[in-house]
Amino acid sequence: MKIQTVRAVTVVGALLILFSCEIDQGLAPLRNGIRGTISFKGKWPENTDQVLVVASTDFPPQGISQLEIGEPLPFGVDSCEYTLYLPPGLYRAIAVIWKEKGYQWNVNNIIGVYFAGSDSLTPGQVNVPEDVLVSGINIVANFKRARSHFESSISGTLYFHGQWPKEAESLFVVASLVPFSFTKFPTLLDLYISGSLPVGLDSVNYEISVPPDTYRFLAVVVLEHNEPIGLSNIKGIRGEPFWGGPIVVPDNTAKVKNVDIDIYFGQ
Amino acid sequence: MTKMEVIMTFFKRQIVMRLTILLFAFLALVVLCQWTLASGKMYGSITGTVVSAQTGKPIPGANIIVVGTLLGAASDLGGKFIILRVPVGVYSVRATAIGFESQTKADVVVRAGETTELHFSLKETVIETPTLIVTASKRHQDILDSPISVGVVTSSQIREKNEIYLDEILQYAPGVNFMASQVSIRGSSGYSHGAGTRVLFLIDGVPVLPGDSGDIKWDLVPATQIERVEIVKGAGSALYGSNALGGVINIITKEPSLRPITNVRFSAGVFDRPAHPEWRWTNRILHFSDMDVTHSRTVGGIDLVLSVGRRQSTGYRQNGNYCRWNAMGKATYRPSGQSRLMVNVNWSHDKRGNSFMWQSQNHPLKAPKEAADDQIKSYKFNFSSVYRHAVSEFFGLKVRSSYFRNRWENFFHDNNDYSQAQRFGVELQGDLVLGKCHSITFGSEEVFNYVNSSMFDKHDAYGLSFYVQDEIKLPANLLLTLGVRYDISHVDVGIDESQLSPKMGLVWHATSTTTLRASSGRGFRAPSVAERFTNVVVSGLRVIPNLKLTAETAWSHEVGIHQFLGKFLVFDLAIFYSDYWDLIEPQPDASGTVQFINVTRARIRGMESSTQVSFWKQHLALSLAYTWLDPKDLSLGQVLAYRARNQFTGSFTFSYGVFQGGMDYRYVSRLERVKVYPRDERVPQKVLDVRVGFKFGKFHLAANIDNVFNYNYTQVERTLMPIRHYTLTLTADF
Repeated sequence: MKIQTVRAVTVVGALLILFSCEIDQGLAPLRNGIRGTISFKGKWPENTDQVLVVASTDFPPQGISQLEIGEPLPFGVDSCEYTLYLPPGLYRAIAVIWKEKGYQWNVNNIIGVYFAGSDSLTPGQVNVPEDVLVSGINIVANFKRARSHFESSISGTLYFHGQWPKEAESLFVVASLVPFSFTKFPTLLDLYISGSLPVGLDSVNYEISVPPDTYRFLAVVVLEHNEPIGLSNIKGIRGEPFWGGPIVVPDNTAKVKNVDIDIYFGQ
Repeated sequence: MTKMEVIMTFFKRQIVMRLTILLFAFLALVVLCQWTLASGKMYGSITGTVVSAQTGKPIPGANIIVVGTLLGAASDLGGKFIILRVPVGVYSVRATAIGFESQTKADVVVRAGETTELHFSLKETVIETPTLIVTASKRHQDILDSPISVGVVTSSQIREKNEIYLDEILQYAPGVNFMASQVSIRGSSGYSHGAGTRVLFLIDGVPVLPGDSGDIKWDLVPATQIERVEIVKGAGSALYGSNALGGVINIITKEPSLRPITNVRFSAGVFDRPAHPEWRWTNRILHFSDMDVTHSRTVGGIDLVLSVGRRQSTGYRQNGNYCRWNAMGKATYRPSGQSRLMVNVNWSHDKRGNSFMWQSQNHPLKAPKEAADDQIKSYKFNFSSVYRHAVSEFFGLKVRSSYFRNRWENFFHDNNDYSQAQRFGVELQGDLVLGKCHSITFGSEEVFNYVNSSMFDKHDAYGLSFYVQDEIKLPANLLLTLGVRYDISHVDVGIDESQLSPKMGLVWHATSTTTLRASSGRGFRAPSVAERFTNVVVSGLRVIPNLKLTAETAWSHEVGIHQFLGKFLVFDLAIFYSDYWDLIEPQPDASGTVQFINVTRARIRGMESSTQVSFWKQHLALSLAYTWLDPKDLSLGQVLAYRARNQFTGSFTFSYGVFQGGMDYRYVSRLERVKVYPRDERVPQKVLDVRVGFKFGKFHLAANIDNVFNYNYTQVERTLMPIRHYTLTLTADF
């Protein structure tokens, strides 16, 4: 091949590559998301740094990296309108979280959750289509749930016996501030929730970040795909009124360990 | 206890000091032997000129070397050179210069007490392939003799791009990619927000990394002071030790001029409006400006260059403003024909807003409300010296010393941390030529870091190393390179580590136009103080220390071919394969607490090709480069985070008389995996810059439009890269 031909091919090839590149403008503003009203209950704590609306594609979220975080809400108001722009998709939990001055984010500092109906145990799910702002996503936020910085936790091991449910998708542990009752379930805001744990194993370690308090029971929850939380999902329990007493976390640095739970599938 | 007492106590504790003394004693012995051997010899000298064959004008800065020895010189502004103390004999003498074909004169006779005159007339080439490099082997070497890929950004490329900071220029270098200001060569680095670098950064061959964060400070040397940049690709710890895990970037600063010359450069520009009206965050005109004054002259036998510069910008996004001052000085002194001392001083002061992350994708140019007034102040001071002495024509000695002081303070809404780090370094290097086919480079390097910080606490660290490299010319135009370096390090909390880094390379000059290369080498990077000891809450994220952090290591292998197709087309292809162990990455847990841990076992395979072609009587030139990566996180069985699979750069340049112009295009494919906000929308990078220049008398006027299509993209999450901006630059030489 002659050198002129090689040069010509190179130049033409380069120009083809350049002009075949789609000329667009890259990132653009999001047009889809949710909007609604936040109603605040209680007095705004003095040490409030920020209050934000967050949305998660998973419940419970595995960490703050899974959260879509909105802009800070105005300080000191009784209620406010908000808009949270989100990528299209299904969001399994929408919540209001509180951040204390001088401390990191804590996903367990939830002061309000969006509930779709009368069920106050399972967060309401919202499907966000492309180019649509889903309205009416109203949330009540209660500052009584805002807890000052804590490093305390409850941890232990879950031991699984029997055959795992085939459709099991999500596993987590909850610590409840109210006693267990077959007739009146606690609300999601009475619970502190661990991150998602791996399913299908014989045993797994867990840790729940909890503020100092008395926890009446711990429950192990196994959810199947897109399933609401209910009695049938509680696969193991420890505390009042069953095995063991309440779990006391005495101060904000206490690490309560070895709170192990046995789970018997099929029973 | 004072700082100096701490330092002295620490040094006294080190048993390795004894080893250093032994090495220095050995070198002194070698020097003595060489002196003794050299004392009975008769000498002459070689002098002459180097000019352009086309114009007849002198070529300043050309390298003239006596082949097979360590003797050589550089031409001055008049194209003249002189090589003193050349032993009597018959030699080949070669002249090389960027932008010209090299020329070798054989059978040059040097007689006792006489001066041999040579005249070199070099033919111009539009393809600016530099022939001599200094980074791959820590000494002058033909680029085609390097078994490892080396990229070079020339001074004319730097001038044409018309950017102030090197990172903006290197974005277009083949195989080089950026995550914000964090550089990655062939995918070696991910993103750790300024903690550590897997690419070693040198200024004139001397390492310049701060002792605390251990990352590259691109604002230390303005691009206007850079003669060229050499980029060694692949693990290079066998010569350079820690940090050379993914490669080495060596800035060669401009040499002082022998006649008095003053250069003034003024540049100003504006940012365009954002592509989407709702992204506009201010009605002000957003602008930036730079001014540099450089003076060079010879005073009492010392060649000097001094430069002062100021840069300011409103930034294109909220709180992206900065005001910077730079000063630099370089002095060279030749006490004799065999010795040269170079001293380099850099200083910078920077006050800038801290735009860590955007407010939201719907307000990407606005800072989060609480961080809208966050500011950072920083001061950097770097001193380095290189003393070279040709003990004889076959033995040369280099002593490099350095001191780098870095101080920064945060003025954040939730954080007022500060850090001050000092890094001392000294290196002794010997170059030995054993006949026509064998040369050895060996040496020892010591580094001491002292850090005092509210974020990292008080720490000191110490490192000592020994290295040797052997180059052997074999029959059939083969060149074999073998090398090894042993590093030991100590950190005050009782962490001791050692690393042995070997390398091997083979070059085959198959024909006069075809060169094949192959190399394997080990690299490592010791964790920076920031990665080990950071303890801070910033922007709602908590970072905690990890004293168990250990060095990350790698093995890099590559094969390559360099092919000339006629005079006007050059092609280079490299296939590489790198294995990584214990890669250090910031790892957020479920609560958002971040810790640097050794997490990743990774493997990166890839291919890199580059082509340069010129046509239409060399008035037009085209450079194309494509890099393909297959980056695998073997620990997770996923693609490695923050690595782009495809990268393409194209550069088109025309020059006709006093006019020059061109365009540069960069495409980097969408990051398949990121760690902090994986659900955020990500797009490829598609950036086109255009430039035009006009020279009239002593003046040069240039206009640039960067990001012509006003394309919106991020390199790391939630940080929008610069939108379209226009720059006008006037340069004058007096």
